Amino acid sequence: MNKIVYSLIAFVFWGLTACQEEVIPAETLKEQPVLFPDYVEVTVPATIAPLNFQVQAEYEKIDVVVRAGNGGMLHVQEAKVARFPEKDWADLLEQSKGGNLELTVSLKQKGRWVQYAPFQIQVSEAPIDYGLVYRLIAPGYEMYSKMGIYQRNLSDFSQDAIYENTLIPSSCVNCHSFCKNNPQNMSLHLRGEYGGTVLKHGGKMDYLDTKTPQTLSSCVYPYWHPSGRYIAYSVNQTQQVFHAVRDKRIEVFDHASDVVVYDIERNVLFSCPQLKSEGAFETFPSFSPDGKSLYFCSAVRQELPKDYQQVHYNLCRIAFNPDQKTFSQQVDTLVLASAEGKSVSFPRPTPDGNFLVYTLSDYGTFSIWHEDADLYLLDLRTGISRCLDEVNSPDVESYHSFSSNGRWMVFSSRRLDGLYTRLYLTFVGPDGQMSKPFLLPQEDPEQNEMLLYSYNIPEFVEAPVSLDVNEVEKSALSRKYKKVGYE
Amino acid sequence: MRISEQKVMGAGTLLFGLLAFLFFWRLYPFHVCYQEQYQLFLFSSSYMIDVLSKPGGLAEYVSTFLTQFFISSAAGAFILAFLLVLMQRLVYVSAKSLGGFRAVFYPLTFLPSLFYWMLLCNENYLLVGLVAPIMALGLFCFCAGRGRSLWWGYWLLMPLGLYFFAGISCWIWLLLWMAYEWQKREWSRKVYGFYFVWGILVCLLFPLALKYAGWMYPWKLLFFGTSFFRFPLLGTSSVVLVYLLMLCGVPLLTAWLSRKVKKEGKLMLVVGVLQIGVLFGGGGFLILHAADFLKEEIMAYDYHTLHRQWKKSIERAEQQAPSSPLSVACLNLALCKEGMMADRMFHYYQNGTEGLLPSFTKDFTAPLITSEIYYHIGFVNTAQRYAFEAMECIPNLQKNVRVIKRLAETNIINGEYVVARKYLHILQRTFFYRDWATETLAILSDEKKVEQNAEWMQLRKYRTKKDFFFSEQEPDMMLGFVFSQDSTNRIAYEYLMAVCLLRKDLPSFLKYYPMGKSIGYARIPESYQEALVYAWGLQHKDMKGIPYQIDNQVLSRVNAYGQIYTSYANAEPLLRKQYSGTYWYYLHFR
Repeated sequence: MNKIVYSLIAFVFWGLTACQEEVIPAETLKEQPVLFPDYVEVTVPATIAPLNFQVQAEYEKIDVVVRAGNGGMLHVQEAKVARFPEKDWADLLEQSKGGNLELTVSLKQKGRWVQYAPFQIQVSEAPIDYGLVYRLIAPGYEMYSKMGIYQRNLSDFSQDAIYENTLIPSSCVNCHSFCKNNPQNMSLHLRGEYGGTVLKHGGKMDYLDTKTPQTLSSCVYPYWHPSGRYIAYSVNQTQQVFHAVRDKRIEVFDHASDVVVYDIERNVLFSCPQLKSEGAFETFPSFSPDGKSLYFCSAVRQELPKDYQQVHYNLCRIAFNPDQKTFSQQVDTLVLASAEGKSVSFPRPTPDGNFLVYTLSDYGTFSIWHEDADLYLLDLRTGISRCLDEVNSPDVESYHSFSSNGRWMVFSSRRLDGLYTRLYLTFVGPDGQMSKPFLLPQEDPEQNEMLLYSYNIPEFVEAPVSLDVNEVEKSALSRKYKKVGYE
Repeated sequence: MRISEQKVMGAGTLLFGLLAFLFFWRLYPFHVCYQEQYQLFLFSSSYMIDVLSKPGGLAEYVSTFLTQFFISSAAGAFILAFLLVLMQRLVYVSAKSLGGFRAVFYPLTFLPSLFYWMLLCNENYLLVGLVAPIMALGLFCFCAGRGRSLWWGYWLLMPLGLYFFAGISCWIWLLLWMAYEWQKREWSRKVYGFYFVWGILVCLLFPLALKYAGWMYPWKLLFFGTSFFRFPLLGTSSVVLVYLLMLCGVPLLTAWLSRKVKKEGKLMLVVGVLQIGVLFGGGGFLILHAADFLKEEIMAYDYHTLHRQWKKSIERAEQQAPSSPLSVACLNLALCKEGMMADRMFHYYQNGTEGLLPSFTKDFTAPLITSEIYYHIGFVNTAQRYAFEAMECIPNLQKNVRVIKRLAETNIINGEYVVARKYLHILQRTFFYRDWATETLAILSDEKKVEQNAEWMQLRKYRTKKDFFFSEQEPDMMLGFVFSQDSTNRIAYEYLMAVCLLRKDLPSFLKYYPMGKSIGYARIPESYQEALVYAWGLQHKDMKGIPYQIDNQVLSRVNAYGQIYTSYANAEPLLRKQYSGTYWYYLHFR
């Protein structure tokens, strides 16, 4: 009996291996293949998950040979998608740190093999964080179905839910944020009937009610102070309206907005007149890596919705004394976007403090619905901004964040289809130069097309996030809030 | 059991199945088709893994697979009838397995099927409520059919497996199997006690363990595994528990009665006939009582609208005037598409602008119907938004195949081919929309072929070229704005006029009326004549000098109407018979 079983196993194994054909190219092309996702000549971290891809052509089989500089090699032959075994891929990349991989793609078309010119993938020595945390949500209007905040291990394809709104039906979850990419210090908002802010800090979890009589709303866009003691938030009175014309869908604007800072130790919010001015909208705060400055966006108040296209946010900076909890009187305008009829959103400084990347669009605050939105890099040492042409596309580029060492940036873009936001990673050089971005690898690249969700607010994390969802559920359903004060 | 008894039982089952089939096919067909729309079954491994990885996943997967065939009411009715019959037969076989069965109690085995048939009259009860118990009963019958106790390994794993495959229905198997083992008495009391406690622990505590392992569902949902109701957390658990108890209780009761009642003869015949009478009479009464024919009417109008069966909508209204705003809204669209709205809309019951352009509600059905109306007027973005919102409102978090198709269409009309392709590729993974998706994908690669689609091209022409923010409160402004950009958009014009008339806003009607010259009516439509005559009459003693070409018939009718209206304090009953189809009657009495 055993003999029969072993023979069968051997036969199946032989059958499987025998499926790999020897590639004798009938034709060798001078051009490189057009891949989906486009991984040609990209720079990747050594711990990135396999860059599985397919070629944008009709074919019966795909054959890919990956050669490392040190002689290592990986060979796959598949029907449609070139899938690399995770372990072999990881080993090959580890050996190739600081070097290049050369990929030779051959396609079997109408019974004959066609070989494309090889292309390179550069394997950076700069490490990348453990993973990404993002929200998955349908790019809808007012209503939402299933959504959640998920973490993705960048070394493989595993994705785990941190919170899904199946736990508390009809709840919405957004604005997850970490202190210097550390999952031990995190916050996220729950919205809806049981809404509140989940704050995980020093191994303890609180469920906050951040609405105070002195503030416009509950806290919205967060950014942690590097010390871990403060979180800067905006408070916004937001409205959403819907366009009738074909190439626009949604407009989101604030009728009023301020910036406040939450003191975790004292459980109070505080601000200053410069961050709460009557004649301006202040939003999107972010602390500098040394914690001594607060960046934010500010626009002159307009009559809304009538003049929604006249709302132009400038990038500003105010000095902050974390010991005294005081702000300077002076506000510096770093990017006067309004002078050029443009608007800044999502300012994010690099961890070394040398640069700041922001999103620039024609007007307003909600750049994800603005096709013109692009990423810009401000050199904080010279004050000169430049458009990040090397990463931008004709479609929307919006939210972005940096790895702990600042060498990698993740950003959201709608370049694939104009609606469903996907994540792209790019290598950031010490001079602020960025490499050709690449789409977050998926086990099956077709996932990018089949998924009816957008990736939202990508943030790097150094280690897996652990959140006790039962505690979150209990606190939310029992409305056991820790009421935040204001001083 | 005598052969004749077998035949009678078989005939009873057949009759039951036939009645169920006829009910769903002829009396409730649009409820059947409705089910198909609120899900998106995909032939893809990721979809399968996603569904199967939840408790009750296999039952849900099978149910959604079968529900896609509900696109045809006949096929859906057949599947429903087949499953109801299958459940009844499994209850019968279960009862037989539990020791002794007398044909006289056969009618009792119909109880659970009749009960769920009644529940299915509510469009929010789902097919999984049949599939999951059938899986549990089927497994019990299979195990019992082997005629011996289960190997302990099976016994340990079975409740766990069933919980994952069929959710809460694992209790059916557990309780029936315990009863089966009890009457077989092959196990010692200790073994029996151990297995019983183990089974209870698995069914009760395993969901709790999942909860504490971080599964992101409320405890109640984990306990039920799969929801038989579209609103997973709404208070239907008691109904579902009664149903499940029935599924366990009926085989046990039937088996017990069969063992205990030994009498023969006429009395038993009377008992049997009585049961049949009560079950079929009572069941029929309850089912017809549970059936919601007003909803069936709305679903019918929606179905005709979706399939552009304008004449069928109008024929339906001729037979029985619709009364709900959504049905009226569908009828008005049908009248408009057939070029009859301006003449005949007041021939039917009108309930204000809600019956023309229903307000947006956070709901998964109403916005879908409203989306159709906006689509045909040329508000492509609004149609897209309403459809998307409807999909996002589905309470059991399903996607909607109809919406995905609509999103493909609206994006094609808007020239957003890349995202349209995404939706079409998804539809290629379905069974019934695959061909359409494949054909449409082929068309997209050739703009000339796209331009051959008359509907898309007309809507491209109609849609606004100048931007504005959608405002539900100002439909006249929006319709006027869209019509001003394309004065051939008859639908927009007639909706604009209809808004004014239904709001009883004659000044606006008179203001916008001249805009319709470009439509090229052969004569002024009847309801417009009625409004024009009335407005003229408000400021003039008679109709002399009226600057519109009014039919003599309208002139004589307005005189007669006016005479009755001004002569009687309570003129409404007198006017109803002859004038209920006029704008004047709507103006005064609606």
